Amino acid sequence: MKKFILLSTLSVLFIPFSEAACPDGKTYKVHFTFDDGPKSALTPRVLDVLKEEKVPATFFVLGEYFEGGKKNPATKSAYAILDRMKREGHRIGSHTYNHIDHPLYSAARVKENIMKPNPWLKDYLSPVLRLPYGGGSFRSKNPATQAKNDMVMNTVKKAGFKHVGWDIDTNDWDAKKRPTLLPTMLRDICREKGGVVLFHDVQKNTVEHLREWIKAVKKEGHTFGPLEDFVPEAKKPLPPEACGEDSTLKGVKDLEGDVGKVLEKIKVKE
Amino acid sequence: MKNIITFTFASLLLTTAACAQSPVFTSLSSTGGTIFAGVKLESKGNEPETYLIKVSSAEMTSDKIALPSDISHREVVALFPAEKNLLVVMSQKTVEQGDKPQFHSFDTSKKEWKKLAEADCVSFAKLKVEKEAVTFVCVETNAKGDEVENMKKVSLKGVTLTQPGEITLPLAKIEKDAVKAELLGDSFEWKELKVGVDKKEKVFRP
Repeated sequence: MKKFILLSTLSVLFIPFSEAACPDGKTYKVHFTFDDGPKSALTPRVLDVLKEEKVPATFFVLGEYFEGGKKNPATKSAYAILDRMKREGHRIGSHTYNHIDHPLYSAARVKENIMKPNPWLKDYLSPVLRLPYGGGSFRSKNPATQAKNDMVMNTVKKAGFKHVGWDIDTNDWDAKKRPTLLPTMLRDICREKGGVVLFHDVQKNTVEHLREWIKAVKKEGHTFGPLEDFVPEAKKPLPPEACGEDSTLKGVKDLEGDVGKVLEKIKVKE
Repeated sequence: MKNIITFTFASLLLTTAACAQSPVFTSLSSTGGTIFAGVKLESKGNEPETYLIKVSSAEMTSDKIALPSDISHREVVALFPAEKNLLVVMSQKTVEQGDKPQFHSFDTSKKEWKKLAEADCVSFAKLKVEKEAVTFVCVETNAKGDEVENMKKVSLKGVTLTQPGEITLPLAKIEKDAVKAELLGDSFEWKELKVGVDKKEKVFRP
């Protein structure tokens, strides 16, 4: 018995050191997210790997793949993929209607892009949204840029979504950065102390290497957790305002006015 | 005629070549030269901004050049010297996927910027640089989910580049005679430029 206790104590002491991946001697929790899908040729293969590796993930899908909702026969395969995501315990978030950089557009267009897909996706979406390029979620010291960022972020909020960015951008889509993807991701997990990791399920490179990347993260001693471990709001249901019209429309009109006022002030100063 | 050697630097691209047509970028010889680089400047709580820095390796001094406001948050992916005192800057937002590279010219004498073109290619590592165009070896995933390489040529609207050739990105180091330069930091989000001449070494930030 004594021997058992001693061995157990030693193993408890030993394991964290032997697995510690980071310079600070710690391991961290991560959550993998996938943007820009679904793509019928690739997303199911991502789901296969996640299932086999028992990794929960979040998919930020583009609304344009669900144009017209289930009534449109062309959306059948995209909905089948969403059904599978849901069945296998993944979260589904909005990546807006299409992949525009929102701060470059009018408040009305921003609102339309954020609201349009929600009725088609209401049975699937968690109240989480990721803006393409993170557009609007960054702080800018330029007042005109910041006014546009505020307009975008307020529209997201008024639509009932929590914006989910990322802590670690793997740049998995970028041929220029491929050679350094894995070591950079592992370094950034330590640097950021874990967090939300960004991938794209529409890239063949990602599909082909995902298992290898997951295994490398596990080998370092890091663990995978659900999105709600990082974003508690992800657990909530999609609020009615995500599919509503009147309240958000009024809000957006106000925001358009706010941006105009800021731009006017800047003009006067110039 | 004096043999002038150009020593240009991109965020990750570096080119060295004999180049009498672009005296502006000049004179990297045993007596020194000019190096251009795209480097990020982080300000606390704000999105980092990109600047060009121009380093005189002879004097070991630098100038900071602001990008036009609409591309100030993009990364400088490559720099190409051109005739008539122009420097062509290729920028791309490398955060998330989907952004198309843009080409701007910077008149180093008049300090003027002009947008030249946009490339219909998001993912690439190889470029073929010709006199008046740049061809991307564009990596794309087709509808079947296969990855294919498509050649996409972008005309630079009458701007004549002075260093044709093939480039594989990222490139972060250049070395010519006694001068060495190296970008420090993550690819395309470089934070510093280290320049060494003989035994002297200095790190430049915007």
